[in-house]
Amino acid sequence: MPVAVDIDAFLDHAIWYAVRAQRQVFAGLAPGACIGIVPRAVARREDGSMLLWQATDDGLASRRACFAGFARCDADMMFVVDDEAMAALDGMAPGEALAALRRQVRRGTIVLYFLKCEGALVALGYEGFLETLGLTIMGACR
Amino acid sequence: MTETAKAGGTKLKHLFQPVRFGRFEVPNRVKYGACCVSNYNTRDGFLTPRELARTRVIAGTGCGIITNQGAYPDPKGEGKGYFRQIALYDEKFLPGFETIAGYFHDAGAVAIQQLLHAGRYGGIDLGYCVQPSVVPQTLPHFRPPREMTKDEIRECVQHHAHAARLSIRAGFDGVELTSFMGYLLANFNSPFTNKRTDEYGGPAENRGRFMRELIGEVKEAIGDDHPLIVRLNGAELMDRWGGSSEDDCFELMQQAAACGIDMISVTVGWQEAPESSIGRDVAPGHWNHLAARAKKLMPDMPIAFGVRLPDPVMADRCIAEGEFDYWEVCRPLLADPELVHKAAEGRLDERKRCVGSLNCLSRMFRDLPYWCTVNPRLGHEVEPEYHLRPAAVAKRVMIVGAGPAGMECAIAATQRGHTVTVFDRADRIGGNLYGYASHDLAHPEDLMAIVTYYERMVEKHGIEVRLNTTVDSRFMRGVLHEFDVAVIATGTTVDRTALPVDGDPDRVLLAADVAAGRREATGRVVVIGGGKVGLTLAESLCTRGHEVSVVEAEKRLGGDVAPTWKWRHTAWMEELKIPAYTGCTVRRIAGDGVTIAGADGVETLLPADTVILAGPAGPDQALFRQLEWMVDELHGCGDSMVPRGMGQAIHDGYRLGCRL
Repeated sequence: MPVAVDIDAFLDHAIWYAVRAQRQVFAGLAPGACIGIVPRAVARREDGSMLLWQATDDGLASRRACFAGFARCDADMMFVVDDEAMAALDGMAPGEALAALRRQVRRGTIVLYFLKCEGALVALGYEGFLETLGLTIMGACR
Repeated sequence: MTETAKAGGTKLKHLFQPVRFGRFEVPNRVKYGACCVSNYNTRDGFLTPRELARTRVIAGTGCGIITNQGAYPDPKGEGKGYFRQIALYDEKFLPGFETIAGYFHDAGAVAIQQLLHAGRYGGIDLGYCVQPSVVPQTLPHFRPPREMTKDEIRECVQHHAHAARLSIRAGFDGVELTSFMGYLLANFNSPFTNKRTDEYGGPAENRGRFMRELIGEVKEAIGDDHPLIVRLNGAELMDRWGGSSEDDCFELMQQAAACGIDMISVTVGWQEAPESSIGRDVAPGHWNHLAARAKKLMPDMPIAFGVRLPDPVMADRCIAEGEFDYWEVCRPLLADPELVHKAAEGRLDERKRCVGSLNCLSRMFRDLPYWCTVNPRLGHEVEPEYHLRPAAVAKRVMIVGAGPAGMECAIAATQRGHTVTVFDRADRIGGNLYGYASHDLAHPEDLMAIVTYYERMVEKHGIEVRLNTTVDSRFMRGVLHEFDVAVIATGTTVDRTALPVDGDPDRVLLAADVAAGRREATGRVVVIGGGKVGLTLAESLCTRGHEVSVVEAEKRLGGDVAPTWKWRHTAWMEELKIPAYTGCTVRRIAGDGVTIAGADGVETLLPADTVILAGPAGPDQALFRQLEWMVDELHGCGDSMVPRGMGQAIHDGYRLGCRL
């Protein structure tokens, strides 16, 4: 993704609104839980913008933030999204958004990195969210 | 080494052909692979009596080369990937290792010690793990990464060399380094985790530098008389995330070979890989081509291989065809430590087959010891209570239910000298497992092999089995005083009467009946119950052309599915486009279908020609009261006590059989 040109389009993409609108998916998250979303090109350069979803008492707040590499990122987990995923997610009906996201995670066009330890993730209420994504908090062991 | 494993193999002559490996004469071409850390040891890395008892069993497997499980080589524990992993960074650990090397040598095997620095899966007791670069993990079990400095890399290489030297001092013949599953060596080799811009990162030549330095130092430490084996990925299965391609992997293998190592063990996949490598949804033999490629590329290099290759007959054929030189096997020997002997003696029909359920490995993510679904003795070798000892009093035992719990109990009790009769109302052995296995989309032969094993054991031990026989109080009056013990292993039951059915309740079929072929589903199907039985049946019926929906009262599907297998059902349900209605209650079942309601109370009609009830399942305990005053000892086991699934049923049945 040519970051300089498309970053706004990425961060404002309708798919993120549609996923965030699935309130029940995020219902188990404790206030402060924070999920990041970043294009692969930004993740590779370790320089650019990302989207942060932060759980609050009133639901999930969304904001932009700087991404300067995983080591300096405060999110609990990061979705790193490549071009192929965005192409697949484009034009997806809101009701299909979560299933589409899950498919791309499974396909590997979206990689979910964990920046916090398992105990912290459990304490922040992520178990249900991960199960919804078709991931198991204890590892896949395939 | 027993005579049979040494000389056996009139049928599998390639597998049992002696072979020269360096200065060693190896009696056969079976290498015990250290693919599992047992988690039986102390938290600070010392071997325990439990481990030593287990290792004696490993020594007795008949393998020509035996690799002891991986020890972490550094005092800080950055390389420690498992809760109770063994350590080898100091002389204080030597006595335990000396004992193990002695066991292996007494058995006639070449003894190899694996060194395992878990890299991005390490630092289990620390707040961090070390890696070539800071790339977080894609599974949440692990520790946040720290980038290794060049000094730390040099120190890490020295730790490995020291641990290798200690291995030889302990009496091991050789050493193995491992990049299996995405450990440190793999982290350097893979561009997924190696983002360095110095001489250790970039092109494969640079990424392989750490490996070459490691090999060089370890070889120097152990000398030319002691073989060095390296486990390397033939495929990482991380390439879609930017990891090594297959070509890259083979280039790295060639780099290792050029450093003068003595054997390459070809492995597949990382723990984080987004696709299966060793689960039962992968067909046996699927990855053999990777070993064949390695052998073709490096014809003079001994190649060991065994990834998802549980069958000695297939291994023998692969060796005959020059695909690899050694069958590297671990999990099938967890399932049946006698496998190699049975292969040598032409008794493979008596083997207990590894069913690829991965319960062995998955428990390690919970920091628990490894475990085997089909081998209840595993890990309990040190406990006499798990051994089959002759019964002090020979009893006449009746077992009701020929499923896994009942059959395990029957086999164990018979071996101890009891006279056992098994009763089942079905027309074959296997209980509900038979129906479940028939519909398994993964690899039905694996689960069916358990049923076949029971049939063979019945024949071998002369266990009487009375099929098509319903046991109840009336039946019992006819056999009064014929038995000293009754064991109820009747499994689970589902309550059809609680359903809101208009008219004949029999319009709702039981999942067990459909799965076993006693009843047939037609047209559009609604399955009530989204646990493992319901999901398996729904997926299978869908592939057979039915339009299927699943209704589940809980918020999520697969509540009783092993955590490591849930993803598989999620993927199948999605691929097969089976609609699932979770958090829904059944309001009405009528001729036109099933009416359900969600949490909001809104009703939906799911049209159905067949309605199948698959859950919730409870223990079938109806016989306990009926038999209470009719037999001296009355016991229950398996799902009839608490429904927990096949693995627990097998373990329960065996334990009871040991105790009667």
